Amino acid sequence: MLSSFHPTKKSLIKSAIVLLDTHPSSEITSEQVLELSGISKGSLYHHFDDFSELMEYALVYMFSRYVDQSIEAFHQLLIVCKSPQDFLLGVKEITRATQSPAMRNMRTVRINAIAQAITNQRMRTLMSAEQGRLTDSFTDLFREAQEKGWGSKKIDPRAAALLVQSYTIGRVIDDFTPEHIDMDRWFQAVDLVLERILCAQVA
Amino acid sequence: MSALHPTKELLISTAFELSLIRPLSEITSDLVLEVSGISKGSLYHHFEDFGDLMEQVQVRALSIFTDSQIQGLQELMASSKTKAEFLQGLRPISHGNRSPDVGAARLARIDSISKALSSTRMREKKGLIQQRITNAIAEIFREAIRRGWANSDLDPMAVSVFLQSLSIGSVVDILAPTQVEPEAWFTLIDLILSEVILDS
Repeated sequence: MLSSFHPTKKSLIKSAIVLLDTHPSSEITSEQVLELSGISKGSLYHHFDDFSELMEYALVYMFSRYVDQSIEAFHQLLIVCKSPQDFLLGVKEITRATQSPAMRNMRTVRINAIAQAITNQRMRTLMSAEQGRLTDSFTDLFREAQEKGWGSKKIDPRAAALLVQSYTIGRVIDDFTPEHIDMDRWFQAVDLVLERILCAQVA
Repeated sequence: MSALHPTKELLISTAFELSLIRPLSEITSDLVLEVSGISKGSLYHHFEDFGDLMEQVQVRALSIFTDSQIQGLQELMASSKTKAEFLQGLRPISHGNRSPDVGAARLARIDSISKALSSTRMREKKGLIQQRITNAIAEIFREAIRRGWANSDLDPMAVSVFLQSLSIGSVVDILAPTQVEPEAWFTLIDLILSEVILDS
């Protein structure tokens, strides 16, 4: 998302992201972002309509950055794997990384960003483009896996793209309950879906 | 619910009924007071602020939705005589209603979860309701395993969270500029149901 931006714009967004890692968005001021980035107030308002717009960019970036990390990991997998067995193993490993209990905070950040975009049309437009890009990226990767004979050819690539994104963020329903499910049993269920549904059958 | 003061109950039920016919953003304290015929002073006697009232409306909505879902699942279990009937009945539940007019309702669920994650008070209330539905779906699968209709290797609680995560998580699709073909999505969910979850 950031790569095509003017360096000043990018730097402002990155500074806001640094602050968002330690502060709730409501507590971050334009002064803090300007001080951290060393950029002038004039430049901020040249690149953004207002300070809220800068924060929206930062929140949408945080919404997609975790998914981009998975996309990059899948991309690497397609390069390094030699067999469908390697691929299945690699996908299981990525699943363990993206859905570890430590990623609970990632789910909260993403859910909060979606909630904010529901009532904020400007942010929603930004997030819509990002979500489209994420689903397209997963779709392309799945299609590539199908071409290599590692992804199941019975599955529509876009549906597969939505599936992996859905159970990764949807697990949030287990984050605010008094009891939590056993992670080993969760991975057992997800692994079975990967083995029997998404990946090509391996002997 | 029955333990609530009648005035408090009337305010919650009025705001709840309004929420069924109007977007939440259009429900103001003036409107709730006008429709309920209750005074402003009473509202602030029973609620910290208007936001507090609306939070309790969200909790009420979640609770009612949860009860109807649980009831639907229990009826399905009671009426299914064969695994095929059970699978057939499970389809509409796991597909979720994907017609465009419920898109807003599905996004509202995300807003509700977001508030549960951000406020301790909401987490406690909504966490208990969420636990109720997670346990109820798990219980359905435990029964399905007993009848030999579901995969006994899988943990019913994990299956419960997995199926719900698909319907909650697929909300990201509503945000995207173009949506996944509903038929392609349903085919995929059916495969998961028949080849993984109900593979006995």
